[in-house]
Amino acid sequence: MNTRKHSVSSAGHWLAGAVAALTATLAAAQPAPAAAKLPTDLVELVATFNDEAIPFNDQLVVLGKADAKVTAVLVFGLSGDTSYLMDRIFARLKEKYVDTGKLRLIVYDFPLTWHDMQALAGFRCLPAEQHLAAMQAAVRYPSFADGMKRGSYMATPARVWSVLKDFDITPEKAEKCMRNTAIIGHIEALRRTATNTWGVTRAPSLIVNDRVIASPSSLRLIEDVLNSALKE
Amino acid sequence: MTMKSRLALTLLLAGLLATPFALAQNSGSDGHSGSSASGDGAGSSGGDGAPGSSDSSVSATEGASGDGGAGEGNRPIERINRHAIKSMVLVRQLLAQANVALPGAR
Repeated sequence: MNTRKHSVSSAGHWLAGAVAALTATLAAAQPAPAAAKLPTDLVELVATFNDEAIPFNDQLVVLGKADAKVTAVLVFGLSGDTSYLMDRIFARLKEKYVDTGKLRLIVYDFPLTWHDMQALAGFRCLPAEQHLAAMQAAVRYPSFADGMKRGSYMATPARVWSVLKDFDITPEKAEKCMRNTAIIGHIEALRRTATNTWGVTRAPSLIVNDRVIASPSSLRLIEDVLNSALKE
Repeated sequence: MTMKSRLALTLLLAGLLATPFALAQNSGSDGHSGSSASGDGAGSSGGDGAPGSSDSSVSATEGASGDGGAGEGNRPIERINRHAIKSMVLVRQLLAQANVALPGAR
């Protein structure tokens, strides 16, 4: 009798656990909610956007010869890691591979946050020949991106102006560009294309053929990949 | 077969049937491909500044359409989405012109 009682009780506990597990499995199978509500700070930012027809540079930054054997894409973000790469690696990479005609390098702007969306949109209103210089200036010190991202989205134009003031643009035009739906749409297209094509969610990343190196941290690592591609 | 064994078998079969469905629901059926990684990555290369991974809100415009979302305040997001869709064609053309081999979208 005791054995039977124990058996029934044990089966009851087991059944309760199994039902809970099944319930959790079925709950996971439910579709996600259709539309997520935008964060409050993003709603506030979006309310300042304009639809003016502002001419902007929609081209890629392409370095090196058209007939270079290898083409690579440097996914450039406003991050501490990009500061490190541009400071420690970029010049040597350019000198050794781009300037010698071996590599065609595309410096591809990629936003990581809505601060970056605005900053990169502002850089797009510069003349094309100043675009790379502005991006390089923005990552010269990690403190720029770090400080910008500690601030609110609304405060971004004032931060970005500390970079853009040295270029051919007025503060009024810079802010309009940073909040323009067409220009931000172009930056978003760059982000989506990189994410959909190569699965990129980090910057910097280097894409050589179909190989993606997320956060390349040494010239040697990059050289290994490039030398291998050059031999193919 | 005991009652316990029958129950175990039933629940096992139910779980096996439900799992692929659950995975399908959670694996980007909305066209996203993992772009909404949380923004707390500190990076790996000595970068001591802003993190290098995408913030989840940065993909807020994806899929925005005129028939839903967060109401009137969402309209600029929808316009950005429309511009982005048009610009993606240009971006792919520019990459192709620059000799970048483009695999199919993931």
